[in-house]
This record gives sequence, C-alpha cells and structure tokens, in this order.
Amino acid sequence: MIGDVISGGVHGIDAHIVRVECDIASGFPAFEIVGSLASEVKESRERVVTALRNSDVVIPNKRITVNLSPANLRKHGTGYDLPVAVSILIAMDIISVKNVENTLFIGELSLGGEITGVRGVLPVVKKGRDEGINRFIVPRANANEAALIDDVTVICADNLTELILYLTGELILERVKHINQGLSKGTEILDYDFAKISGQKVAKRGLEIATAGLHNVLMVGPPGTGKTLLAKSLPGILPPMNKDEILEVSSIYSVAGKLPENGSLITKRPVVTAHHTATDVAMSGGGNTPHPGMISLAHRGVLFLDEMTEFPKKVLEVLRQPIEDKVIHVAKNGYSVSYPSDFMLVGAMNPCPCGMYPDMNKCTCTENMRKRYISKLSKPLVDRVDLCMQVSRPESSEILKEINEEPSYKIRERVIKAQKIQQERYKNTGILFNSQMGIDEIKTYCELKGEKLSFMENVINKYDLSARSFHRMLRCARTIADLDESKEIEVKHLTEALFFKCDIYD
Amino acid sequence: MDKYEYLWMKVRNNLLPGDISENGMTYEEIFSLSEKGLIEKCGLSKNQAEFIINKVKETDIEGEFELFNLSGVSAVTVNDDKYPKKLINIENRPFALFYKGELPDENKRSVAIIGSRKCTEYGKYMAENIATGLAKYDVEIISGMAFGIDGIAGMAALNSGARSFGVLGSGANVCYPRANKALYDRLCKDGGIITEYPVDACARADNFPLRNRIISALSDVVLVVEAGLKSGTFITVDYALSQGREIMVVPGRATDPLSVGCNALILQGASPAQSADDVMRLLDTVSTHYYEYNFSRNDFRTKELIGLVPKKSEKVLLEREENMVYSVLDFYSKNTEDIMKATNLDIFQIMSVLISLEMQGLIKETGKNSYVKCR
Repeated sequence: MIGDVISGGVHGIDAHIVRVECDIASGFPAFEIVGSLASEVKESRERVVTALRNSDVVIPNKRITVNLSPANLRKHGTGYDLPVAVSILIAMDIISVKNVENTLFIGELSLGGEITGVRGVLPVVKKGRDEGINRFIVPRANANEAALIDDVTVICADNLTELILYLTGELILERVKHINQGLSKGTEILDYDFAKISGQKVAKRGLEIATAGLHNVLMVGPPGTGKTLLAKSLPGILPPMNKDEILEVSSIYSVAGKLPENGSLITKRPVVTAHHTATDVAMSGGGNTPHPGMISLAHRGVLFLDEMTEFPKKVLEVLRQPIEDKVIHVAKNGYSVSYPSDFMLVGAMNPCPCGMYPDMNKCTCTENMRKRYISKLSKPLVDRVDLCMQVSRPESSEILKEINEEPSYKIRERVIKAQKIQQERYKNTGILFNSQMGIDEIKTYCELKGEKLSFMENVINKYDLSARSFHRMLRCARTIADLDESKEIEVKHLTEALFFKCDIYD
Repeated sequence: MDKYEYLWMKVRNNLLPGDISENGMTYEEIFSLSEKGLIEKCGLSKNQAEFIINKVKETDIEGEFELFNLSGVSAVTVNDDKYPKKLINIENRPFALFYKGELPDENKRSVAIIGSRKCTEYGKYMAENIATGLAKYDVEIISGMAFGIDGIAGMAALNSGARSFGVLGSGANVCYPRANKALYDRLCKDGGIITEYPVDACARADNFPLRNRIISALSDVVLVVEAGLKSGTFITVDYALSQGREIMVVPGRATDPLSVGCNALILQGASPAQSADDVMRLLDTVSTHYYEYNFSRNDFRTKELIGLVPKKSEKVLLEREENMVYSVLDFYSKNTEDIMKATNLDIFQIMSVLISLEMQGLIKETGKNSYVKCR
C-alpha cells in the first residue's frame, strides 16, 4: 500500500501542488524522505516520527521511504510535516485512501503531535482550488487565511490524534466559516490626513499626480518641511486594489508570514517605509531561506525611502533592476526564486548636505559638496523617477496660521476617477496604470499632434531632453490629462509635466 | 630665460621678501659661490645662504629646465623688457612670470574682478554685466580663474571680445580648478594664463594668498563683486591698498551675508560701482605714470549711460500674469509656494506661467521648483 497524499508549497509566491507518497517495505529499518529538500524539510523526519509516536502510533520497524514529488522541484518550508505523517498512516493502513480523496494537507507538527501554523497557506489553497481540490486540512493558525478563498471546505484539527479520528469518520469537525471579506470602502478614519498639512500645494499636487498613475516620485526639500508627513498621508489617497491585486499582495504577505493575526487579506495598498539602516538583503529578499524583501512587500503599493541620500549605495543599487523589470530574481545557496516587485517609489531627500539650497544666504555648501551629495543617488535610479517636486520652507507667518486644507478623501475621489479611466483604457492589455506604459503604449495613448507636437519639439531643444526623459514626461502628462478628465493630452498638461520633471542631475 | 635665471627663480620663490643685491654678478657666478661667499658678497644671512646652497644641490637643473623648454610655456624675468611694468615697483615682486597666451597689454586699462567662490545669482549677474560692459571699452580683465565671481567675469570678458587673464596658484600648464578647464582653454587662446610658479607646480593652499598680490598689481582698479566677511578676497584688497591700487565694490543688500564684506569696504572708503560705467569713471582718474593712454578721454563721456533697466524697445512683452510673476522674482531664489502667495494666482496658473517664462529664457530654475531672474 503506497500512501498518497496531496500537499502544496510555494516557490517565490507561486504555489504548486506536491504529491507525498509513502512506501513501507521489508528490509533494514530506515526512514528516508526524498525529493530535493531544503534543510528544514529534511528535519521533518525527526518531527514526524516523534509526533506519530506521541499520538500513540507505533511506526513499524521497516524500510519507510517518503517521496515528495515532483522530485526535481525544490521543497521549502515546514508545511510538509503533516502530509508526510498522513502518507505514513495510509501506508500503515490506519487511514484509507478514500478518507483523503480530493483533500490537500498542509501543516507543521510539534513533537507532541500538535498541528502548528506555516507560511504561504493562502496561495497554496488558492492553487489547490484552481486545480479542483475542494477540501483543505490546515493548521488552526492559518484557518482564517484559508477560509478567504471561495468555494473550498476548510477543516482544522488541533493535533494528529484528532485528525486521524476525523479522517476515519469517528469524529466530526465543523468546517471553518468562509470569510467574505468586502473590499475596504475607504471611509475609515485615517491616521494621517492631507487636511492636517498646511500649504505645500505644489507637493500635494505632485503626489496627487503620482498616486493617480502610480508614478515614482522624489520630494526634495529642507529638513522639517513635512516630507515624511506627506508620505505618511499617502494611504489616504491611494486608489483601491482590484480582486486579483488583493490576492496577489495577500499571497506575498502570507509567504512572508506577515498576514495580520486574524488572517484577513491585505485589502489596502501596502505602504512600506524603509529605514536607511536596512540591509540590501532586507530590501531585495532572499537570505538563507528565501523570503520576500521590502520591495516585494511593497508590491502594488508604495515603497517610501526617507532620507534617500543616507542609504548605502549598495542598498539603492538593489532597487534599480526591480524598478525596471517589476520583478526581482534572487539566487543563493542552491536556490533561485523570483518575487514580484511592482511598486511606486516615493523618495525624500535634502537638496544639499546642509539642506538650505537654493537659499544662498543660508546654504553653507560649496557647489562640489552639493554635486557630490546628489550623486549619492545613482543616475540610473533617478532616471526612473517620473516626478520631482520641492517641499519648501513656509514663511514664519504661515506656520502659525489656521489650517484649512483639502481633506484626503476629496483628493482620493479624483485619484479614483483617474484610475477608472486607466482601467477602461488598459482593460485588454496587461497593465493597470499609466506609469507602466511601455514604448508601444506611449505611441498609442500619448500621441501628440499639431501645436502640442511643436511645443514638445521646443521643449526637447530647450531642456536638452533625452528620449527617456521625454517618455517620462509623456506618461506624467497622460496622468495629468486623466485627472483633468481630458481625452487628449493638451499643452497645459505637458506644461505641468514639465514643471514636475525630475532633473536633479541637470 | 636661461637656466641660471630658472634656478634663481626657484631659489627666489622660496626665499621670502628681502632684497638680495645681485651686486652686478651674473646668476652663474652667484651659484658658484660658497656659503661664506654668499654671506659676504650678497649680504645674505647664514640661513639664507644655507638655503641657497641646499636648493642648488637638490635641484636637477638640467632636467627641470629641459622640461620647461619642452612645455610650451613662456617666461619673462625682471631683467626682460616684456616684464609687466606694473609689477616692477611692488613689494616682493615675482622674479619671473610663466605664461601661456599673452601678457596684459601695457597700453590698455585693466580691472581685476574678484569675489566669493560661492556667490549668489545677484553676484553672478553683476560680475557678468560689469565684465561685459568693461570689455566694450576695451578694458582687460584680470582674475584668479576660480569658481564663482572670478571665473564668470573672466569668461564674460572673453565672450565680449576683450582679453582676460587668469593668474594661477599652480604651474601655467596645470589647470586648477580642474572644472574650469573650458575657461582655461579660452584664456590660453584669447587672453593669458599667468603664474609665478614653474611648470608642473601643483596648486598648494599657501600659493593662493601670494598669487593675489599679482592679481591686484596687474590691475589699475580692483573690483570686488561679492564677498562674505571671511573671504580670501580681502587678502587681494590688502595687497591692492599697499600697492596703491583703487578699490571699487559692488554694494548689496545690507542683510545678505555675501554682501556684508562688500558693504563693509564701502563703509571704509571704497567706491561703490553699480555698472561698468561707474568703474570707467574711476579708471579715468587713475594715475598713469607708468603707461600712456592711446585713446581720447572724451570718447567715454559722450557715450550714453546704459543702466541696468532695459530700454523700452528691449522690454519683453509679457502677458499680464507672466508680468505679475516676473515682477515678484528676483536674483535671489524664490520657491513656487512663495511665488503663489505673492501673486495670489492658483497653482495651475503659476505652473503654466513659470514654464512659459523659463522657456522664454527670462527665468531659470536653481533648486527644484525655485526660480531666479535671468535678465
């Protein structure tokens, strides 16, 4: 009797189905698990044997072989403990094959036989459902997560003994209630609101454009002017995610082990703040056991780099390829994995070491010092920033004035309107936002004719724009036109895009 | 320059002031003296004599002189006719000058334009404006080829067709600061690079105060455009005063840190200059006992005074909103928020106007979204 159990694992954030087979034969007593295993999976052996023993199952003194197939797919994580144990039970005839029909098992085992939580349950359950499996045995810690998927039956047992009784029909376990999590309506009270930031009309307008098209943006200004505060207020104006985006982001967080306690989905675009003491691995992901980095936790959302010039060059370099490709490939220690990383970069920095430039009365830096300071951001990285704006020091009289500013929800309404236009425009293409437009899309959706064309010709000459800068401008202009609910890109939209162009490298 | 003069230059550059009487001996003879001979026949102290003997020993005179000959750099010593007459009577005159291009024309008036390396847009504008104006009167401009005021004035003069000269703190073939290479090349071609330091000499910090005495000496008037309180410009001013040169100063706002030095000089008696014409007025009265004018003084006085306000025909026609924004801008950077508050226009109007003015070349961006007037 070969025990055959369905399980699953994650590679990157993609789940795959894994078949766990067990064969018990006569011969020298041994217990081997094979199938291209990472070290934590190899340790399953000890856990499974001890857990079974402590669940009053006497393992025969025979040659036990367990295979996790497909054998050439690398297996990570501790979720195979439970399916291995179940496959042994089947091979021992304690559970019959019929009992586990169309069922996927995933979970870690404690030495005492308890079934404990693992990462990545959400994408595995979703993959299982897509493959036609309809019953899932998961740890109680991951029950809520699994229950988010439609059309599945989720069962939890606390330990192996309970599970065996359930599978043999001697115990009834209630299925976990499906959680119909509605999309967030965005009417919650915000921690930070644009209404609480006085003035900064230029910066607010720039951020509105950036979020409407998910463009990369750079804020430049003296310390204490509100750059951090503006970034913290972004969640209040970010457009909502669609169902696919929600599942994708939640899968990433599940794999990273960062889903909230109650196992709910991530329904709002993530905003990840990176501190400049973060390491390059923390940023990119990878490590000894592969896990997503900050750039993947910011996927479909915002990666905020405060004091961008304080980041070590090594860490900023990590960003360059992912910003371009929207995915990061990490290879280490015999594994190679890819994580998605399509994020909106928001950077904040001072204009010079003392922060006062261009106020020559207060700036104590020489031209050389300033140029060297700016060069801390590599040119290729800055080349991928679409918008740049100044966050300036208000005159002293302004600081004491009563604040009467536009609230975040009003800005969000405009952003959502622009998002809907983009949804309609790109509905049969693979992209969602203007910032993702490639050369072909720019040709199609940003065509310039007549006076607009000659205006741009003047602009290219006067500002000596490269082709890349020109395309960046067009993407921004397209978003500005969308915010203006204008089908064509007009000269006034191009002018505004020019105002916000990112040219700190002159 | 022969090789003994070259060796004397090396010796002389490092022996601080104090005249050495050459006593009718040739340099070759001096170098063949013993330490005792130097003390007795040339009136040197023991230390000075020792220094000369050691210097001669450690210098590879053949090799260095060969390098000098191959370098393409020219040289004059005090003994040559071409040695600038304006330098003859100054304290601690350089024994030799190395140069590329030409030396200043003794029959033309010259003005040194100096100022802070870290200048404001105002300083840049004034330096360029005055240098250009003086160039039209065929005045030669002397400067240190440094960043900021010096470099701008030097370049502006060249662009207006006049000659300008840079006095360096390094060898004539060493371009310091390196980022001013474009100016250096223009000066070699259309003006001159002058230095008292030999070929290949590096720019050392102590060279610069000394070279400033040459800048002031080669000029008739020294014009200070912008200087903070602790600027190296004052070293040049001190030399100028002890050499009997006139100082003129461009005044600035009393509250600007970079005009504090200038305004202080005015309070001490320097004449203010707001335009090239103001400088010309003073140049006219400067003593000329060591050279002669070749032009008629009346030429200058009958010329129409061109102020800083453009004539009516030159005034650019701007739309009402553009005019509003242009009028609140200055030579000091203003950020967009402040411009909005000053004009009460809304953000969309402001962005449109600023870009329009920028594209017309009337304003330019300094920091991101901060603007200054160009003209």
